[in-house]
Amino acid sequence: MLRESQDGFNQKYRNPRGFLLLAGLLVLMGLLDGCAFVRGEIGEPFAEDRLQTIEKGKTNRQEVAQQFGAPDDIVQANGHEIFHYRRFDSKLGWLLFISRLNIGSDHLWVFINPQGIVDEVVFGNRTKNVEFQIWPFGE
Amino acid sequence: MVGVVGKVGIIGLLLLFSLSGCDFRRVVVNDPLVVDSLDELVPGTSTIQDVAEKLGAPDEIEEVAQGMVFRHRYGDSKTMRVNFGWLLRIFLPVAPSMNLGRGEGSTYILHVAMRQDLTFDHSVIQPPPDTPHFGFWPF
Repeated sequence: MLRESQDGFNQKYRNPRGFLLLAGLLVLMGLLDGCAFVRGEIGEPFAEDRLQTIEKGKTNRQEVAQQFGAPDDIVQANGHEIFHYRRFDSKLGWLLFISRLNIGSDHLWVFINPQGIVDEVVFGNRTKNVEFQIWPFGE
Repeated sequence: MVGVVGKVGIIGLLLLFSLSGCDFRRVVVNDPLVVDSLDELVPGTSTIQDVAEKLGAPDEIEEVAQGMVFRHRYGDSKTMRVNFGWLLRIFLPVAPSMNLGRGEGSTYILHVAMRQDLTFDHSVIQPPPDTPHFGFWPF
């Protein structure tokens, strides 16, 4: 059995040029870089059911904090205290010598009036559009 | 001796091999801003939700004298690098780095001013910046 396989190998590569071509190709591939797909996320996704718990004119500051935790940022504007929550998602596609990193961010802004009640909620989900892409040229 | 397919393959591999000393990297932050959608907003009438529907949640909110400003951002950057020492990997056990590189980036910012009653007032659109280009010459 071993003898047969050795004969087969010898017949296949009795021409050293074929073997050298294969070896050269392997060395060449070893010198080239590989590929990678890397994802990075900061913050938890904003679940739809959690967002729906915020009701304008009803939900208070404490309830917002219970659902989403302490805000990343608090902005004072126009008599409102605005709780700002962020989430980032990034996807990197890398092949040999080209790469593209796409980054998207979600923002949740909760406007709280001086009485501590939610007046307005603004939410935008841009991370759903973030894709793995490799090609860095063009649009 | 070597067919047309073989020749094309060898040329392709050599091209790939020579390009391995290069790097083309692109970083894109968020989606491009579609400013045409602002035409439908009516000052004093369109609400904060109308603005969010057209543009998504802002990246920043800042208080100004007459209300607040929503700031939306889109970023695009391109970096290219050529390692001229890379080819020495073929001849030497060590490959000293001799890199030339350059990066270009542009940020597109859109300001949307909101009145104190949280209705749309006006928007300030930055002229579209030049699209960044790939180039390795840093001088």
